[in-house]
Amino acid sequence: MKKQRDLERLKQVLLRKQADRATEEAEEKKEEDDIDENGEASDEGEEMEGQSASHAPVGGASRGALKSLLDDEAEEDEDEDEDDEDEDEDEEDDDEFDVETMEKKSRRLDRKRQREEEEAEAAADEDYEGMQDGAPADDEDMTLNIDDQQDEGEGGAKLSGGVTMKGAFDLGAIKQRIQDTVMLLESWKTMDERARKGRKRADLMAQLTADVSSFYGYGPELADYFLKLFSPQEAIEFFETNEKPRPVTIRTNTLKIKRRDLAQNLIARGANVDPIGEWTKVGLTVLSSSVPIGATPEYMSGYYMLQSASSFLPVMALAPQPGEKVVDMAAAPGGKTTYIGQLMKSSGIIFANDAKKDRCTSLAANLHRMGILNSIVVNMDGRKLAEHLPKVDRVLLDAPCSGAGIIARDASVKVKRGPKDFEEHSVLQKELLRVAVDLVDANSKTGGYIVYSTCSLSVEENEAVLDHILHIRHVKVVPIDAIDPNFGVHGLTRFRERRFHPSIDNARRYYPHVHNMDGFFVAKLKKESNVIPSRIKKDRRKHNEAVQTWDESNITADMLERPLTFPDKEPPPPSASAAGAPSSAKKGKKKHKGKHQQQQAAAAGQPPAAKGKKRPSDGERPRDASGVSKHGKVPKKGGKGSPPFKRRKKGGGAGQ
Amino acid sequence: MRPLTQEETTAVFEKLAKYIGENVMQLVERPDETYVFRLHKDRVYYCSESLLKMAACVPRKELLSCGTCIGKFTKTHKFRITITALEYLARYAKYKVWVKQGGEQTFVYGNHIVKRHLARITENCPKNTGVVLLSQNDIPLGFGVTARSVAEMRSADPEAIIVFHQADVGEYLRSEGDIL
Repeated sequence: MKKQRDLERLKQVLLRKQADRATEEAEEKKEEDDIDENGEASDEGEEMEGQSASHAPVGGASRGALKSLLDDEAEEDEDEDEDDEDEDEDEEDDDEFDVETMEKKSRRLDRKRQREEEEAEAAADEDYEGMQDGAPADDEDMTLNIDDQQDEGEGGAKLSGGVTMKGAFDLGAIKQRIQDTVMLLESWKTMDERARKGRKRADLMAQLTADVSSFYGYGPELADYFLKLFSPQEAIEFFETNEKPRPVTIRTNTLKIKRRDLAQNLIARGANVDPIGEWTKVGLTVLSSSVPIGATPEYMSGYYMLQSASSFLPVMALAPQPGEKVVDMAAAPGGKTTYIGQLMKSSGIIFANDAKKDRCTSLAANLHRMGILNSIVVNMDGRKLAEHLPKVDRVLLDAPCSGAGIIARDASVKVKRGPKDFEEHSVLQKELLRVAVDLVDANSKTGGYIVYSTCSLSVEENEAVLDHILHIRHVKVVPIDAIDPNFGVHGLTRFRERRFHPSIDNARRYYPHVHNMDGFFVAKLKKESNVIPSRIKKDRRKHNEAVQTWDESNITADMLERPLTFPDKEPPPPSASAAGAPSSAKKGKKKHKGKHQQQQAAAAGQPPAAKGKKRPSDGERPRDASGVSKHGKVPKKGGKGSPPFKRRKKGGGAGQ
Repeated sequence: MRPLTQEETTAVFEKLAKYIGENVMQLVERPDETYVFRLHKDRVYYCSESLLKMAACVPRKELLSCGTCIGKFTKTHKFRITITALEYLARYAKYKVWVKQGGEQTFVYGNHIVKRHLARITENCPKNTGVVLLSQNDIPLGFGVTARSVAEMRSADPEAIIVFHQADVGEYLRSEGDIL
């Protein structure tokens, strides 16, 4: 599988190289057109196969050769050998074509080889010079490969993502370079300036990102994200682990059978099962099986559920008690829901909701199969649940996510998702989590808990969502009692430029390369009160003591000393009264701001007694002619607080 | 979601009685809580009253299932028990048939039970009665109707059908979409 994919990638690279070559060999182009396209393509493919097959040994050998300083020649020999091999193969292939084609082809190949040799020589020379500079031999050994590739890259055309052309050919070399870069980056801090040879860490990281994205097939942005999330060493482990599938795990339905008995039954059917680990009492790993594990009579009768190990965790964290009311907001296909039912021993009530109707059928089927008798299956947008359902004791929200933790299961995530998707998903997740919190009754005797989980590892979809809910609801992140506190990695409280609430440390992350399960995030929240915090409305009424009205007491001596004269102009008609419609007040707002200063100065200039009358005529809202009649009322009714004054309070930011 | 009408109730109980006989009463009169039958989108659900009360919160259109689906009414108003009722049928079944391991596989693929696959059977099982089928280690596999009485089975050909297939747990995989 992997080899096939690598071949695919190589083919792409080759096609690009072909295009590059076309520009150089313009005069030959016409002749080439005569050659059968298909024949050529397949020929190229063969050539490539030969190369990729000989890569691994060559990569290793070149590394070995580079260890001693003077073995450059040996390396060249190796290269030549490789080329010879290629040539042999090419010739074999060419036998199938007519002589004319063969001739042209061999000529072209000769030229190509010559060019490559020249490049290699140039690179070797440079390397040799570099060595003579007197850098320590150890470091040199470690870094040579990288230099090598970079130098060649200068000679050759650059591919997208900064991958050098020759590097892209040679998967073994990319792998080697990834390893070397990682080693280099790991020891970067302790390395002295000379050993760094003027390279920048950022450049190395960019190189690593490009290599990773080409070697493992990730989108560059996603690769970059993971390299930032993990240390380079850990990130490579993560990428490596994602190439291998996670073990198949099943969950015993303890409503129907004991784990020991189930294991016996399955072994009798020809499956090889083992307990998953210390942390769960219901899970089994299927090591091998001679029968399809998803179609045994035990499975169909609901004695166990095929479920990834990581999906146990949110339910264990939720720890539903018998007799409670529990909501699973994104339930399909029902793995976690049936586990909840199992823990509740078929008492109490489970609301299992899913937004997609076709997924709901499998949810309902699984609930019936597993013998969960107390479930209510709802097909509703999760965001509307709070409007319909009563307050419940616990809510599980396994939010829809980008799936960045289950790349081993779904490799399309590698190219399909990026940091942008993380942001997009987090919007819905925040909404759903808010609804989840609203669904829970904080006064519940046994519960009041919400568990939030995703199968993504991105910070946007996890910690940021929690941080958001901590701001808008009375909840706190609590430690997960049901799971061993040493199992799992702590939630991040800081990631690059972002800082999160310290209690998010209580959440847990699970990584494929550490825990051998899908990447997962679990957090348990406790609702503190049913009160929904809202922004405190500003009370602008006059009897509110907090509201400071503008009156004589605000006039300082300083103001009186600097009177401002006004031009003798016809005062424009004043506008609506204090009780004017709010919409008109809003419209007027902009105008006021500009004139604010002027007004204040005017206030200072006017004798206090005259203020009430004169103020509105200071040219506030010229457009409203109808306000004239109302204007007369204002001073009588409002007394001190005539309309412009009121508005000014806002502008001045008076005591709120 | 509404209570069953008189005719519907009779249809449901008659059908259930074929499999669990007088144990039907145990479904209705339970010591723990009152359980009821409700009709929703042509399907009959069996659930406790407290569950029903909670299900009432959910708009009818969005509600897909409540408690356990016992069966469905066909377009011609006949009642059919679905495989989802197996949980209760197996619990209260009057007549049971145990099938050999070879028979398990053929049965869960939707075939009838032939005599060759018969391992054990409840004594005095008459003809044309509902039976629950179990594997030899007591895993319920489905239910069917006997084609012969026990006495007739003794003399029957090894390939003769003894239990007609009605529903089996393989439907959870074969026709998951049709279950609800």
